[in-house]
Amino acid sequence: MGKAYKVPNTLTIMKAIEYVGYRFIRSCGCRGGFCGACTTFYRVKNDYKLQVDLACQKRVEDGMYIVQLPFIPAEKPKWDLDKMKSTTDEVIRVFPEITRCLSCNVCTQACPQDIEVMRTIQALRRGDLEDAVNLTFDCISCGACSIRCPAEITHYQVFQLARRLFGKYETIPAKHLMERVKEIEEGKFDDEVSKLMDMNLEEIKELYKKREIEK
Amino acid sequence: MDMCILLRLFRQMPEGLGCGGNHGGSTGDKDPRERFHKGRPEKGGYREVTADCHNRGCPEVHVVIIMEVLYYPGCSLRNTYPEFEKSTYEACEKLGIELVEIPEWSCCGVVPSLATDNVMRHLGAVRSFINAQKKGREIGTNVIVVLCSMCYNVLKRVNLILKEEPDTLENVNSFIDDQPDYVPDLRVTHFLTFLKETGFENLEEKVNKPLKGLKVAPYYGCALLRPDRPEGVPIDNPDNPVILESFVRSIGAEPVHFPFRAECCGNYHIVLEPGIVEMRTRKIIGSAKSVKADLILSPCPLCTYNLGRGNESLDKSEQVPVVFFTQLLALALGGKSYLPTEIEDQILKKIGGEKSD
Repeated sequence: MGKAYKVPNTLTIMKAIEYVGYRFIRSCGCRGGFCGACTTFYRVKNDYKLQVDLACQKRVEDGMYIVQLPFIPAEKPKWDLDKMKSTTDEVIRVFPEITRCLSCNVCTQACPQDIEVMRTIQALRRGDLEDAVNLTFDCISCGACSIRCPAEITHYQVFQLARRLFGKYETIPAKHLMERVKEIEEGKFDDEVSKLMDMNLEEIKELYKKREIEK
Repeated sequence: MDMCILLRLFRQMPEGLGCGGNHGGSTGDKDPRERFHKGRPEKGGYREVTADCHNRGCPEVHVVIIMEVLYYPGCSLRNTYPEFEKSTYEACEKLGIELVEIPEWSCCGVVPSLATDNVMRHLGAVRSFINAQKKGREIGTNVIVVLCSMCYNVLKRVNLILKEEPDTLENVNSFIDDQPDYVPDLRVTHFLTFLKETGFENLEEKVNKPLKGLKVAPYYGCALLRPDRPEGVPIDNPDNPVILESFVRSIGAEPVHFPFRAECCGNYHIVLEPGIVEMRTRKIIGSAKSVKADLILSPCPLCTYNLGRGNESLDKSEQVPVVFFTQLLALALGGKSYLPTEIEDQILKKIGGEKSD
């Protein structure tokens, strides 16, 4: 680290780091653009813009210099969905800092998923919970928005609360999910679970290796 | 078809009110376009719709002018006081005014930047202006109507600063690099000012349920009157405002003068020092009570909240109900006021009228 490397220009940032000889012990998760663990900040030659992408998705560019953030420190407040209503007021009560939004839109520019982050926060201010939920469906909670925010909002947690409230109170329950929950409650899987609980580590490893893999 | 142009401020000819049989010529009403834009360089948006005449036997289809203005609601109206906004929509419907909500408006910022170099605080307002500018060009207006006093104060100040300080404007525009530049040619207007400019006397004509005998104490608060910097923020003379009184007269009620009408309610002290707010609002309410006011008229969500807290700390006999000015307006125009039933009943009893739907 702290050095320049020559790498083939077809590699992603993640592949390039491994190509030059490093092994990831953090900042690497699903490798498929879903988990948000490999958030990478970078600048390219002759451009003042600070950019953000997922290392597993973004191809290297000439002169790119990078830093990876494996974790964004954030306090997650506790909430009890059963005692809440599906209003934006509830979201503001749990996260009063969203009223500090300055509309600078730096959060949106930081989002590797191209979510309109500021627009979502403003939708919550305007009282439009549904808009906020629909706008943030693709959020992977990487936290890039939150580390850039001058109002110190932890957007991804705000969005999660918005989606939880909307999902619990506003959407139609999925029929197949209700059926599965009923099956679990009736003990359909109890035998299998207790069989697993009784196994030792070696047996579990063996079972894992032989598992059915989706093609 | 020979259409008679009826320059009334109605969306539809209300039942029982006809064109007066004065077809093909002037109806005696002035063109609202002339009235609103007298001596002003700004353009206004208008739309023409046709409406049947309710005047008995009149076969004509009339062209009615609907005035379109940009509208900034603000967060308090959406989260805390929907009745303020709903009653305004109701009144505007009756007045032939169409409020075109600014798409994707941002929170105004609540407190404007007091430091000359803290431009960041202006961004929320400017983003709303940029969206308003786009919409305004579509419908052909540059007038933004604001209801909430606090939002008005912030938006008005930021807009004036951007008009007066080219450096600040450039700074803001170069920072907001994901939107077109803001060209500061919008005019931020409070709804009261807008009503005044379209003519209180004109409003008077449209009132079909005058609130006769109702004693109303018009409370101004701070944000509509102070500060006068940049110049042009107050909607009236800060030392002796009359706009709310004129408004009250135009809806047929009687404005009562009380010395605390422009005193501060305590504002954000409600968060950390509610005692200060209660002390101040008790004085304001007591002052209105001493001149036998039936109601306090408020133009501001925060003042309304604070006055409500003051009322809660008083005995029932010392309380004075607080209503938004647009609620009385909607009521006087024969629309839905979104007032609590108890208060609406009191008003109707006082003016001796029937309950509205």
